[in-house]
Amino acid sequence: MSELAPLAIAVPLIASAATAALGAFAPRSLLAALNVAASAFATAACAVLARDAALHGSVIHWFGGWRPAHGVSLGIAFVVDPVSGALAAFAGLLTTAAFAYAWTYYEKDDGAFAALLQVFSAALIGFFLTGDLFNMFVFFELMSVSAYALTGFRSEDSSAVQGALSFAVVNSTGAFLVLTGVAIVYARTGALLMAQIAHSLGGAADPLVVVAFALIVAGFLVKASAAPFHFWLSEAHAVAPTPLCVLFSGIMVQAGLYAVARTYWSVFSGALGPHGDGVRDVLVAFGVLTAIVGAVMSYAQRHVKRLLAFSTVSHSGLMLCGIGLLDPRALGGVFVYVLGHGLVKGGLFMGSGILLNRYQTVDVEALRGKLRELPWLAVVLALGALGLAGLPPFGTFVGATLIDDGASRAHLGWLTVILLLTAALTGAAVLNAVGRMTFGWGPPPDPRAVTPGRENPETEAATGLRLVNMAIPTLALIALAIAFGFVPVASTAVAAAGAFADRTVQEAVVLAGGAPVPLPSGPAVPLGDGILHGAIGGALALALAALGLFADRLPIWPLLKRTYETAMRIPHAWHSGIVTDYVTWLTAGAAAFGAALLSLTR
Amino acid sequence: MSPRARGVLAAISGLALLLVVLAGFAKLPDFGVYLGPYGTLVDELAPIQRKIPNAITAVNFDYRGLDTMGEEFILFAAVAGLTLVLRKDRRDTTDAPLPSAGLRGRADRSDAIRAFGLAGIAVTIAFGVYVAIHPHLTPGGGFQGGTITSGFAALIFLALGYRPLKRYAPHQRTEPIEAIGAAGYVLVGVATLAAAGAFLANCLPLGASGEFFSTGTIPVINLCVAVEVVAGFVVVFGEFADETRFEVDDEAEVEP
Amino acid sequence: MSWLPYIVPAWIFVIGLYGMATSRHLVHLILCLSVTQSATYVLILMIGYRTGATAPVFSDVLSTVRATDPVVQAVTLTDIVVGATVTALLLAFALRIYKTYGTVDPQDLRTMQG
Repeated sequence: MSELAPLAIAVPLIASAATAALGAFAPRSLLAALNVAASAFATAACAVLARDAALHGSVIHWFGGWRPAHGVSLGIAFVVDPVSGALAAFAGLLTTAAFAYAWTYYEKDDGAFAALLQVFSAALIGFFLTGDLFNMFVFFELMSVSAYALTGFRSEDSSAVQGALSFAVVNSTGAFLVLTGVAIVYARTGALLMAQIAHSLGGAADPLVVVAFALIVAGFLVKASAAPFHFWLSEAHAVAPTPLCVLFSGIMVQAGLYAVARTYWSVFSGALGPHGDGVRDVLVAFGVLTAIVGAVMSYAQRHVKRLLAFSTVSHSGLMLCGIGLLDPRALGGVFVYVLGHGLVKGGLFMGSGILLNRYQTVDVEALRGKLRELPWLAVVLALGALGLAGLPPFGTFVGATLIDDGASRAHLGWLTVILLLTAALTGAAVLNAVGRMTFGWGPPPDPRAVTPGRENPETEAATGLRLVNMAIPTLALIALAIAFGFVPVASTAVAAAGAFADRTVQEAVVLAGGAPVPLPSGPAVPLGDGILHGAIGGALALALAALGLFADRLPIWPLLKRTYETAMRIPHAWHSGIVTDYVTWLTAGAAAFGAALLSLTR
Repeated sequence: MSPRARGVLAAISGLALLLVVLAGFAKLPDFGVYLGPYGTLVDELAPIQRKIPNAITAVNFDYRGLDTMGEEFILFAAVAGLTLVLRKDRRDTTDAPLPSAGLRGRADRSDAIRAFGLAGIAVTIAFGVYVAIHPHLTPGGGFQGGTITSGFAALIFLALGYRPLKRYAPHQRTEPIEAIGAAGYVLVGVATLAAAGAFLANCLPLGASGEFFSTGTIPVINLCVAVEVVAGFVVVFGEFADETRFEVDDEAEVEP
Repeated sequence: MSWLPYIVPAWIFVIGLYGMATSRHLVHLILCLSVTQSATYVLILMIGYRTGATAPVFSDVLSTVRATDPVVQAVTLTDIVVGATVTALLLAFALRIYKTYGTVDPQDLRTMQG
């Protein structure tokens, strides 16, 4: 069965090379079928592996057949546990949906778009499955390089290449932070396999271990778009082709978060465990900052794709808080949230892609009242907004419930309130936009404000069958997001997170060839409080959206408007669009992150 | 931020990061002391297990062959992206005669440059191929040798000019070759998975250490890498050479 | 011997970052990124070094001779490939930006303000 693990990346890579080699000659329909089939195969392979891992314990594939001898590993292993397998399968699923949606994309481009997307998805899958720290860096870079290239895809659009450049500069710098951390941990342990590093590090932490952890996690937080490393994200999303935004927001950012959790639990939890409180405080602080900055900026946007991008920043902060709690229950919640959020956000981005295709713009003010022509799309977007706010039965509420449980177990009740508010604000941002686009509600824009220019259409305006091609995946993702809330996944997720966080079993299985341990049944998870919570979140989202739409009828409106605009000047100034500013923030953020960890883990 | 504010913040946070990093580096083993065990073990085992004198190549193409596969696809993705970005606005123009505005014509290329450039082509290819095909015996390999070999395209451009480069190395031919090299690596992995039960596991006879035909799958994988690297870099040279075919002023649309 | 030589990669890393942050030209910025990356090569190769050891290629020497760590050298090779390809891609972006906007000063490229 473990042969499926390498095939899950080999098949997409071969499809990619074949698409590039045959792009100029083969009929388009053949290439499209080839790519959808390859993605579907990778998805199925990862799903089978995840199921196998849950039933019989972790599935391990040793590349080159180099099993560890005398407890020392010579090679690289893919270690598929239920979590990594499920996330890899989800990456495959979103890629398949993106290929189905993007049917029209690679008609004119020699298959380069499809070839790059296929490499990107293989890199994501490899990133999730690998059990080797340096190999993780390689897949991280592979994912990044293909993503930079795909972001610059619409290079006739003047801003696309600029967004891709910011993306590439900031993310490459993050990758170098990771590599520096990996290098010094290698100097200490002489190992690159995670289980072996954890084994060698033992239970003692000194500044070298803390700094290595800080550098690796800070680098992955760049990909996870935690503040103040998040600036690249809105630029990359604003210009990237829509099917790519689905993957960026739905799984790539989450891959960065997964790597943070993986790094802590599989590598450093033994050494840093005694300082768990310090690590928790730092991660939760960065998570809270990210959740707030993202939500506030999201609410202030009028470019729908940027709005959704900042909303991803906010939700990434929420998930970072869940990881930072260092609690298997909250971690299980994060994994459920990744799936729930990915489905909702994917549906929302695909909806915005339909707007862009039809009206050549995603500027809310330019679309005022236009959405009346597509009432079904307005409903889909509004539903997605409520999903972001965590309204049951969207899958997001199950994840949020578990994260809240973890927060109250850590005596951080205030965290629950902040996460509820920020999630509601991101939902309100979308509802606000839907209200304006559908009914023309809301105060008119400030005439002094800069009007965003007309976007270059990504594709020719779709009608008939092509519109159906775009509508089906959009509807399917939102429907799945709702259906996911009814799947009794919470208890399994907590059990899977427990296995994910169990370093000693991983060491025994990976390093010593011990028998894999099947997933135990998880604890019962009552969702009653969560449903109430989610309902409050949904109501808050509606209220905040109404505030944005109708506050101009209040007597205190001029004061309110002036205060809001003055306050917003500060975060707007941070998001200056200048790549050198972003590098400066990254340097400051990495230094602050490292210094905080060093001082709190002494 | 104003440039001045940015400079100050960058200097302060750079210094802070330096201190953080040094706090960790101070606990590194003393310079010149390598504790192992990974590298020590590979040095001991590679000559025995793989009959290969070059332990670095054993790591690159066998023990950690998956890293190298990822690396080849990083090259593949970067070349594809570079081509997309540069070629977008001059699609299908590369075959047609192009305006020569802004180009240094054949006339002002000195005889010395042409003579040495032409002589250099043969030397470059011979040396590059030699480095590329002996990864198991001497330092070198598909990537190093491939990079050197691909220099022939730059020399053609230098000595003979744009059109000969496009004639001898048209992208219609180099791009599929590059893709075949990349796919070859993965296909070797799939074949060994079928034959030996593990991806990239050796299933060919190892031969005698020090022989040209030895070390099993390593030369096969190396060949795929060499092919991909040569073709990939020739595509890159070709794309940047295409850029010289336009006057910059024609293209600039300065936005207010 | 001591840890003092490790100041070199730390300094290269940070000075590359400072160069990027204060850059006024995209090509300069991209090269500063390469400077930061070269800090990782220097660090990784230093880590695998052994005083008085030979290269881990046993064609002309016995395999029992004390040799340096081959893993760090393989890892550095991978790192160099990543660096070269990312630089090529970034330079293509810079070229495209210059052709569109007529400037390569990051300060002037602020259409994305948000």
